[in-house]
Amino acid sequence: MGTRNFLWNSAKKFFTIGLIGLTVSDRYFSIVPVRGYSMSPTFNPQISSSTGSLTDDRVLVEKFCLEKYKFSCGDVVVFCSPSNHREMHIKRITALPGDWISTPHSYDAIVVPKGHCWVEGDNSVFSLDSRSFGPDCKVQTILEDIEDLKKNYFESCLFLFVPRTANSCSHAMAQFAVKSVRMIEWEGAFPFWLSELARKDMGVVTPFCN
Amino acid sequence: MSRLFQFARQWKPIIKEGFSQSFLIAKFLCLLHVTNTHVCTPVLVYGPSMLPTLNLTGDVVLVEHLSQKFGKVGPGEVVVVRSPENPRKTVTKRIVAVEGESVTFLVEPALSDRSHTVVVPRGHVWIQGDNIYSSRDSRQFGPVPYGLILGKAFWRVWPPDGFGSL
Repeated sequence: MGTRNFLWNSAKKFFTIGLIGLTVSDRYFSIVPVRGYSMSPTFNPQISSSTGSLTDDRVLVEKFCLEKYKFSCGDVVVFCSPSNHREMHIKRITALPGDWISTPHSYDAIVVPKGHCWVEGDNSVFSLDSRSFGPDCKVQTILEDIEDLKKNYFESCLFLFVPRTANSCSHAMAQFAVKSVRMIEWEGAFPFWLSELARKDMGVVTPFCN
Repeated sequence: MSRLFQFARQWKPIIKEGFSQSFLIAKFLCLLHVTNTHVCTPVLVYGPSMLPTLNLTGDVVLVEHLSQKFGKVGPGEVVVVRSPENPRKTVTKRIVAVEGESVTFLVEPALSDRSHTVVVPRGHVWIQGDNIYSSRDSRQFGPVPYGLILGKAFWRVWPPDGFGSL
């Protein structure tokens, strides 16, 4: 009898705490972990080697703005993705209704329609945002597919970076070209440093064609 | 100093009672909020766009949120949606098609017979009012993201002669 009373009281306490927590998180504040690097360096400035969630940045999100829905350019907002309502994204608003923006995939400029806004991640390389919903975003689609495969089809998945050890020649040539100020022509023979690198890349000891 | 202590001792039980009553009221308001936002809420809908299903002058319908949270809202159901043109307004329409389906609709039924076919993109739904002659819906503002759906209207509460499921 005593334990039943105790269990009932604990259940009531948990229920009350749950209700109050849900109300506060819906109407006033909530804490949200940020995954991914699309808002680097604002959030998650360092790429961490561990994929655990302990290294994610956590942000305080306020819900008072949802009363009037009045946002300004430059606000960082949390929203449900239009293509998948179960995913939440965090990005910065860069244009409000009525503003003109240039689309990244063509020479047109479009006006942001009423009731919509344009969002972009601070890290434009790694960001899937308003620019990705354009006609020619092949790289973003491939990244999205890789994420989908990794999440839904494989038990475990490891991504490694393998440096281009056999391409130090191209790298050196590109660096050289970036630093030079005038046109260069090599006739008949490559410079010694270039052929040395090429030889190292190929891993051969016989003379390389000069 | 002792006068202050006497004063406090007199008012302590009343203050305690006041706090516990306010806490009770706060708990009740939280329960109301959670029920209205996550379970079921009554909504007043008005306008000509859903005639003859819903009246012009206003009906009170019960809108449930659980179907939307579990992704079970489908074609043929009357839904309350946050307007994509003004996030502070809500509109009530019927879902005609979901993602992946193609919709053929009359662009301006009062003026011409011209029809248009569109494929609904991933994560979106196509909503139309039952009264296509007087409805501002997906034919004007395009497919609506599923996340903007607030809930499914399933029961009419007012007027009393319309009491029953939709």
